[in-house]
Amino acid sequence: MRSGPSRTWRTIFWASSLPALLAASFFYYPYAFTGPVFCPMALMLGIPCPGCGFTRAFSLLTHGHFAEAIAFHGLAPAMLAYLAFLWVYKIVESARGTPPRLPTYRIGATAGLVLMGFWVARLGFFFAQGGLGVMAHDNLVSRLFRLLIC
Amino acid sequence: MADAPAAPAAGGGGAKGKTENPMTVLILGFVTCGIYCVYWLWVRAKEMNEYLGREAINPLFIVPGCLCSPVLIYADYLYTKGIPEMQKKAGVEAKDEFVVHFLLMLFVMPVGMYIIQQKLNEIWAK
Repeated sequence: MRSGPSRTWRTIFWASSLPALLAASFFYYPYAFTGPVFCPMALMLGIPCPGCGFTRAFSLLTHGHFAEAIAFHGLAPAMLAYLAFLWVYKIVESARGTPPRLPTYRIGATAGLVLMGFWVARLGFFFAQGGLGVMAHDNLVSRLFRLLIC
Repeated sequence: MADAPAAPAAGGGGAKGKTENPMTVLILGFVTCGIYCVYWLWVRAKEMNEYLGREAINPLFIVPGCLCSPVLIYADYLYTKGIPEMQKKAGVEAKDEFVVHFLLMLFVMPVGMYIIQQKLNEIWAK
């Protein structure tokens, strides 16, 4: 027998998770473009990580700016669809008490490969558009150097 | 058809995972700025699920868990929760370090991975 919250509370928790995420993205919109950078890859190496742009893209999506959202991260609508799928999956699991029978490893691996493939293509585009200069300017050593010398 | 984890062996856990040097895990986690963490989380989820004989860590949550902080909190919770269960199954002495492991996984993932890898190595050695 499973311990922890009751099935009803688990279902309520999971049912409110995606709306809460979307609400957070909606209200974060004014700060999405000026807020601090938390990504370790962007901070240390000066290059975007596979997830860089999702916060801004989700904020834009919740305000109906689809084209701009895709410009920040081309997979934003697909990631939103994937999160919606996980949302339904967890609601069904919580309500029934057993997870839906799905090829979870295959779905998870496909999602990972798509994301990494997109990131490699994105990095190729980034470097083709003068990314080396951006990387040289924005990496941690350059930032520290500018902070200490300038 | 669902990808069912391997059936557990009688009298203990299921298939044992690979022993990794925790220091390598720590260094690679930092050097790759987290990209190695995605791979590590995926491999360890498979190993932990196979050992426990059930899907304790849902692999569907690993990819979004690396990008979306609320999902990351859930994924880290699952990893941290799985360790005492595995230790119990392996007959390894288990201390209640859930909060420490969870916070490390959440805020300094490579360090959390280092500690979890140490615990896993102890379990695989049993």
